[in-house]
Amino acid sequence: MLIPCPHCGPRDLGEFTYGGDATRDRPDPHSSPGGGASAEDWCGYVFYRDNPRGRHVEYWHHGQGCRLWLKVVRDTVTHKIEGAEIVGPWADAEPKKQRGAA
Amino acid sequence: MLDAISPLNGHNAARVHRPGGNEPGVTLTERELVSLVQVAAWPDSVEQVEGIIASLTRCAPPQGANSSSGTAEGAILALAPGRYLVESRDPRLAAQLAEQIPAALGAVTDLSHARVAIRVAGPDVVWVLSKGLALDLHPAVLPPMTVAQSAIHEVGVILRRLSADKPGGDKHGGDSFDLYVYRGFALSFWDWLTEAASETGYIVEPPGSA
Amino acid sequence: MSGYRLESARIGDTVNFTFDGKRYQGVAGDTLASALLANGVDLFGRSFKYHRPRGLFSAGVEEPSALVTLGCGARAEPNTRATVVELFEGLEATSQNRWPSLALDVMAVNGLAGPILSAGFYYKTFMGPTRKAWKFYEHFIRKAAGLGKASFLPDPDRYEEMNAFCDVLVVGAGPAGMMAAMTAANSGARVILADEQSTLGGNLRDSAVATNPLAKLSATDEVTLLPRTTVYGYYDDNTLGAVERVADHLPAPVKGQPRERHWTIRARQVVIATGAIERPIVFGDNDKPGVMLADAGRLYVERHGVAPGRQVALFTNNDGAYRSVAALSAAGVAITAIVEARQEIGDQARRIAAASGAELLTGHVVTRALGGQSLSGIAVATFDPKQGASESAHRHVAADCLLVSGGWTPTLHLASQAGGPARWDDTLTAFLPGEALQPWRAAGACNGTFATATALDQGAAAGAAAAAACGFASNAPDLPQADDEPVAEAPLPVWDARPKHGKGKAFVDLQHDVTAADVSLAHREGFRSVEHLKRYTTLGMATDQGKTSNVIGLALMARERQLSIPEVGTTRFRPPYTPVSLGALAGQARGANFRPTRRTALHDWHEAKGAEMQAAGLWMRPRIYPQGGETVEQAYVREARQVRQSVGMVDVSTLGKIDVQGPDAAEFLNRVYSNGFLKLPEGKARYGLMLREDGFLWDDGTTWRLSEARFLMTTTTANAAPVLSQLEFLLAAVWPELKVAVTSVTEQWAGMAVSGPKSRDVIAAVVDDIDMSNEALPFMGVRAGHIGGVPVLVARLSFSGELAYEVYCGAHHGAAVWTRLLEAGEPFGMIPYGVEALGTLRIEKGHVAGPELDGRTTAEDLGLAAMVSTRKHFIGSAMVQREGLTDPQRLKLVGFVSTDGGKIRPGAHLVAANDTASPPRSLGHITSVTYSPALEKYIALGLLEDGPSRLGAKLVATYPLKNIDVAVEVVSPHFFDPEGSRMHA
Repeated sequence: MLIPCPHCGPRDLGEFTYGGDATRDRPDPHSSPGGGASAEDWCGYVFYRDNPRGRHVEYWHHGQGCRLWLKVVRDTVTHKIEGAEIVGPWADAEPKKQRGAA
Repeated sequence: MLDAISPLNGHNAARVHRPGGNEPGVTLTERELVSLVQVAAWPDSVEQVEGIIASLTRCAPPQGANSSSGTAEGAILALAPGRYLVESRDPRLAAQLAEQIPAALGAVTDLSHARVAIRVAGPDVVWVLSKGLALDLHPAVLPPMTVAQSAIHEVGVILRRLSADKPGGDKHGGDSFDLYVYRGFALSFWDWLTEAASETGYIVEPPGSA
Repeated sequence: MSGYRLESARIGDTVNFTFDGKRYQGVAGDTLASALLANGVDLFGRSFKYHRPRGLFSAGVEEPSALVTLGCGARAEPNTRATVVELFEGLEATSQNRWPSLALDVMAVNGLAGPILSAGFYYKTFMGPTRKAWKFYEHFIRKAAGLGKASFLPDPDRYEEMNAFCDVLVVGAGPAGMMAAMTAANSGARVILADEQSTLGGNLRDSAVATNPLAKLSATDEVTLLPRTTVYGYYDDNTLGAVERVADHLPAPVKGQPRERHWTIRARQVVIATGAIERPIVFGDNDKPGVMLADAGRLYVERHGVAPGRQVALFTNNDGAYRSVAALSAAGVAITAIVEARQEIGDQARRIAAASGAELLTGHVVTRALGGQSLSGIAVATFDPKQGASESAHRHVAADCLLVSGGWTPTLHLASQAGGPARWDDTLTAFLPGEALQPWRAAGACNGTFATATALDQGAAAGAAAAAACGFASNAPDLPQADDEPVAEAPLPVWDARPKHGKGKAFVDLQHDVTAADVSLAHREGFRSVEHLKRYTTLGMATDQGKTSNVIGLALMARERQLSIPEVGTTRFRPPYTPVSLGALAGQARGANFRPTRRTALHDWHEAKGAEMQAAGLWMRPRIYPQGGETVEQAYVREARQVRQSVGMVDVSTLGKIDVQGPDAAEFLNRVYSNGFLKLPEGKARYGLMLREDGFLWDDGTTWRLSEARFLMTTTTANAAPVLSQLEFLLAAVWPELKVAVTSVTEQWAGMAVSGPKSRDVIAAVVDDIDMSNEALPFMGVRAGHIGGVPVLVARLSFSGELAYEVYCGAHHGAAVWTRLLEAGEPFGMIPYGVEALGTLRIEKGHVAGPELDGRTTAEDLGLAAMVSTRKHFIGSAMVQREGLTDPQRLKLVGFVSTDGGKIRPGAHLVAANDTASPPRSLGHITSVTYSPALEKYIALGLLEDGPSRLGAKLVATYPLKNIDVAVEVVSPHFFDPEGSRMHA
């Protein structure tokens, strides 16, 4: 499987580690303990995972490359990857010149 | 001052390995690494930080992702958005960068002891590196001055292509690369590299000669 | 040369070899099969179950019968197909699965016990009422059934990996593949052309039609030709696996050469031109040596100059087999009869038959092979497509070789691995490639195009289309001219030629000894789907994966179920196409290089001083520095005692070290650690706990504030990489607003912990510019300075409970600083100590480490509740107060002392002394154990139900695996200096 790292180009799966479901929102920590987010909200974030058949958004870490965390859209049936984007403060970083990758 | 000892000490001495009596296809040299410093800018300080690095090293800023710039005295490798690996023959580099780049602009991390640099060159170097590197090393895909971060035999490497195969280039002809490898893995990596090169034969040049 | 070598053959250099110890001679260019055939050898091995004599069935990778063990000693390789082994000087081959000898095999009696060993035998034996009997019979059954034996010696050869990238990968260098590669290369694409054979060209190999273009191709830049390379698997993202047999055709690899090279090929486009494999027709005793595929007979004549027999008969249902007749006739081999199932045959086939002088028996089939250990003749009967073979109208024809052709099976393996279900073609009676689910195209025989001229044309078109898909304008070379030839375009669907009451065993899968009767039995017993048929009969599950038998098996099941073949369906192909050696898959990752080794800057010093090293992940750490004949326990007790009495030093370079910088660094750490970090002053270190989001304890370590916006975080050795990844994740996905950069500096710093009452004196003696007094450098203080002119960080931290300092310096200076410190410590008897003594010292202090931080413990469990802030948010804060995590009955950390002098086992369970139940109820378990030189007894840390309330209780630490029971008393985990006066000294 190849993951198209927006910075490094398409790279072998072995360079990445899986970071889990990227569709969950972390509850606002300032609402707990004491208010806002409930124990259920936290349980949902920490423990419960959907196991969708088909399109899924996942975190992948390019640990053996640029070390950026990516959101990867992958089809869990065909393993086809729709795309990958950088997560975090560099999400909008436009590489000045993206070289053509094989 | 106390001695600095390379992790390849005792293994990197000059020699020639010629398996079939043929001309060795690869030349391996441990380079002397004086200063190796990582600089990380914040998203709003990239241009400023690039400018400071460029003026300190007298190199142009690298032109985009996975690129590098450099002279005989130093080099700037673009590792990630806003993140650079800066090499220099000036031992004061880390201190100078730290002085000119306060926390408001970015972070400066001295890695001069963290990695070793190995120059690999020669007509068979792409063949030998391809035994471990799942990267397309074709010059059209990875032209000179390009930087790539990947792994060889589970060891993370930063690779910088210096030249691509064309007549009249490097003194051994053909391609040349610099590999930056974590020092703890250096000997294990060297073992892998010399085994991979045992097919084509290799020359080890004295440390610091490249 | 005598035997079956043809007069007309171009004789190459003589090559000497042995088979079952007997000396033979072949010629350069032979395979082991062709060389033995030339020598008149027709018995190659014994069959898998019935030990029936088996000969040569094919001339290629599909060979089910002629399996031999190649070489001897460490290089012995079982189950190699004689048909693909290239002959070399000194080759040694041995037949398999025979006892005591190939010609006389007592196990052949298994043939008489046929009904017992029929389909489902293993299944019934395992699952049925005779299950107990299996234990008794297993040894004999395993001895009787099987293939060759692997060598148990280490493989002396080298293997390696190769990564390759290209625009167009062409698999198979026959007419179609060759043209595809030429067209793609001519268009400017980067091309790899791989073929399993030693010479490219396929059926055109050695002819000018192939050699000229191939020579041109090999001279083209951007083209890689890979002969002897089998592309065995098609994986995601157009990644294909291939094995190049670099030196298998040589007695041993030439110096430096690997024996095999595994290629991982990433192609933008693939052309599959893998050809087709001929299939036989089933009849009685169709496994008799001398029965061979028709095209194999042609190849032995044309390629090797070897006649497959002296009196050859042919049995076919298609025109393609007449190529073999033409080849044999041209070489002067006598053909006695052509048994043709069809009534009508093609004009060209008829002309070839007439010219051969053979008797042409149209509308006939072979019903049984005759003879003893090898073929002496065939029984022939008239055949009607509706009624089958006649029961009565038989005649015998003398023959020492029967060439059989039942049509051709396209080699779909790669297409199937990367495509949809195969399509059935009724005219070709063959499955063809299904929908391409990755960017590939099929061309030539694997696409059902059997005529050479058409295959060339189709290959060129596929090459052009593949190049165009990569953005290259097509530039096709001229098509070579191909000879006109008869083609297997419309075989008559005859699968089992026997009359209803035909005699002899009729084999479908020769390698696994699966007969037509087994297929019928599977049907009768309800194993009717193709998947069940396969598993119940083991049809197609041998090392040849049913290359010559699968379609016949399906056809026979279709007949039983009265369905069409496509209705019965086909199983999917999985990699590998042909067997792949484990060596090729391992590559350089073997022995010492199985995984990389990580060495600290002090590694050479440790080894030079005789340290016993132990692995910690990829790192190597000194365990003990034994002196004289010391045991492990004697060594660590001596080392630990010396630390408490004077001073010692341990290499702590493997601790994870992370540079944390930025204006928001303190805020970030405050959210990461369960205890507060906002107010940590510059020049101070703090011990921190990290929790997981679920509230469990994850990692611990000290973090040093070097300046306002710069921290040096340390982690445990094991969690260095995961902690960094997690910090990067938090900064990317959870708190992108924080301006913080994190970088691993584990390799930048060598670390050494100097511990013991004299540690201050030692460091003060060598450090240039740090005031080491208790006031200037208090407990948890951090200072930067120099030793011998090189920069160091000195932090007053203690894991041992003694006055202690950690000294960090640039890793390249590590060995020199270490030596300098030891020299300064000489007057105090300073020693290096290993991780065993490190463990002893921390257990005596009740400090937790990996065995306690096991992923199931909370801070409270380990007595660290005070470090979990209730006044701030941090990772894990929301979940740490969950009911299950605050239950007082949870296992909690306490200490244990051995009261009977016994050595407590790590992992031992804690049970009440008077618990007589079997097994007794576990109240907890032991995590860490040491002999304590300070207490002079065995002590341990452990997790005990509501432990702190049981102090003083007498329990038993039981280790039932070894029947070891030790009486223990529950004590505080702080065995030694609980007030901490020593480290504050």
